[in-house]
Amino acid sequence: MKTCALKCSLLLFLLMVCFRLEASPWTSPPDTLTGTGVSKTTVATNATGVSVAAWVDSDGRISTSIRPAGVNGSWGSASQVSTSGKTVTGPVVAINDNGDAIVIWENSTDVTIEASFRPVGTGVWSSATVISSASSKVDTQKVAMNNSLAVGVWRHENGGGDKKIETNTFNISTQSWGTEEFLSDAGAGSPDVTVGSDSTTAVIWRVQRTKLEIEANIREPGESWSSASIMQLSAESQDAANPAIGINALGSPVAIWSYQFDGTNYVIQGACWTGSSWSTPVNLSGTLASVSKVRLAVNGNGDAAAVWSATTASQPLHLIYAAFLKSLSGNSWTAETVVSRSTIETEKPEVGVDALGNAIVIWNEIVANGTNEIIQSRFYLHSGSTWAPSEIVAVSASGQKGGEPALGVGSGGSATAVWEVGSGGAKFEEAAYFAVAYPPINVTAKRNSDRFFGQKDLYNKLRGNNHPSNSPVTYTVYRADGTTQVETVGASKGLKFEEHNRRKGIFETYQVVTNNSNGGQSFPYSYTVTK
Amino acid sequence: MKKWLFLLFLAAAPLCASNEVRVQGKVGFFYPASKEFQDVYGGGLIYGPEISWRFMPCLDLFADAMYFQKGGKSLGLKKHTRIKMLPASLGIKLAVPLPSLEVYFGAALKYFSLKIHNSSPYVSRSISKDGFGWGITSGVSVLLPKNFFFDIFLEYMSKKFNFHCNKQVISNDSIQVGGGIIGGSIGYRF
Repeated sequence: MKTCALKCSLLLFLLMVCFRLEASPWTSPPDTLTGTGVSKTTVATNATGVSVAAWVDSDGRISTSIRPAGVNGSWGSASQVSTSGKTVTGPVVAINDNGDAIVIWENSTDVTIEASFRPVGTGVWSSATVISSASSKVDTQKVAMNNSLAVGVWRHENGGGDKKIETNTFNISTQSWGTEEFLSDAGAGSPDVTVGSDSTTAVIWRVQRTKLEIEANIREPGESWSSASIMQLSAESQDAANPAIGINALGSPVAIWSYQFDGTNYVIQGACWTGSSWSTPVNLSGTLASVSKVRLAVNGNGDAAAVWSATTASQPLHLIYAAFLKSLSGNSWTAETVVSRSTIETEKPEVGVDALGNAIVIWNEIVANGTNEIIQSRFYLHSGSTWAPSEIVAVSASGQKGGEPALGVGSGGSATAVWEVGSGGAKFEEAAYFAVAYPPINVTAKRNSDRFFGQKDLYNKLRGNNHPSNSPVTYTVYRADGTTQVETVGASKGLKFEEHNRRKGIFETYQVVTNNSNGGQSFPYSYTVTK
Repeated sequence: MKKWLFLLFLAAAPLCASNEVRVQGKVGFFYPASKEFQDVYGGGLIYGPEISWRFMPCLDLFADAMYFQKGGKSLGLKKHTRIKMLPASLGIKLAVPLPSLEVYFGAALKYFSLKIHNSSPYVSRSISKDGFGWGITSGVSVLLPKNFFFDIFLEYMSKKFNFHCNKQVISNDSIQVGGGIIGGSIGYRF
């Protein structure tokens, strides 16, 4: 009996895995991004779907690779951008919508932050440039860029033990870095940076005052940093941590952090820049027993997606939670939702949001004893405020030890996920690409009749416009079960589907998948015919 | 009423007994009785020959065949459809002679032959129907010199067909293909 139950469970599990793999919008099988012995891979994706990845190679140098857009793109050969003989770590990358890319990293040998820039015109990475001041330690570097500039921030520690947030700005037109400068007082850490399309730059950090507080500084376009514009975001009474910041196209940042509100338990808080001040923080979460990672993504409209990994008093497992802020809704976030499975330990969420407010979340799911860790993902549909599809979608293959996921989501909606596979010196990096395809808009699903003399053909008619962010080639229409294909119709004039000889009084449901010119397929979207 | 008609017939019989044969060409406007027919095809020209034989005083045995053909569009997707109808009649007319005129009333058994072609794969593409119906007519014949005559008539014909087909469509159990005709004819009396 037990054997039978075990077999049934195994079969059910395999069926579930197979279904998820079939339904996955991620490219499969994953690309092998690197050789073995690598670590610390990061990735960024721009509006057109071009991605850049950087990692610490097996020989200890920073390597980068570019992947063109589309499902058929493949990673280019790796370019080593750091100087040999140096101990380096923590590469972070950014790519703008033009395709210029930048990577900064920590040089532990020289105790500096270094950078390399790759203009899209030449496609050649520059030699490593030191962008930080002399220090005894630098770490937690971050970088952000737009089409005009790139900004790096990091924690800088001097010989006296003062830890400050330092920054430097790269001018893309002159391809030169400015002069590094300190943004914070001593006792700071955990910086994050964002650059708006108008070049408004905002940096957030945590600093030790009476308690650990969240502070931020905003630099207007064309202006210099000013210590006078530093503002406190979190309350003074308790410790705050894990700050993250993003910005919309109008230069208004959104910030989130974790706040130990009663000295023991935490909440996730968020605040929005109102043009002259930060709004009063609001709680995005319920009471949390612990918070391990907080991530934020903001698009040009100001739609924001916040994710965090946390435990609660009743849930000892780390689960992934999310909350969303819709543009024009002030600082009013949606209620938190649990993104991951409630029975499995998870870690390291990453989030990205496209120009439409659709969000992608990935995280590491530790399935069994840490030997079978899967990178999972979910897709949040802005228009319906729903997860679509409702189930979790696996990014990596089951049965292997995946970990350390990183995610790049471009404003165009395409995304790249990278993660490490294996353990010890055998670790290598895999990558999967999500080529965005949006559903048609203004869709109507109607029952119509074509009446001849003596006969009437009842038919279902689906009509819709192509999504303006899409280049759909075809639409595939399935029955409600999502597997029985009815027809694939051209998309040159939008969604135009008809099914004839329907029965009176029976109104079918269809699932429609967009097949995009970039090779991407949308999730199936359901439409039920009405009178 | 029947009695009065019969008496009228007997009184008029000696006046119109001529044993003549008439041949005429008829043209009229067919106005379908069915709204569905109207919506899909509308009315149209109907025409054909008629031959009659005055076999008894004031009684004509007549036979005619009218032809109606009309294209139309389906109500919805506006697919082309065409109908062809040939109602053939065998009937009797009662003629009431007046100076230079004849007023007549008639009834006929009609045989309808109907063909429809629909340009849609989702309904029956070709439909052929045949069957008996009936018709009544009334008119005025104006007797012209040299045995010619001119006729103005009203007619109503009726026939219902059912349109069951193999495809999964909503079909009418019984639909009227007849309707009214107003028309005229010109003919020759032998």
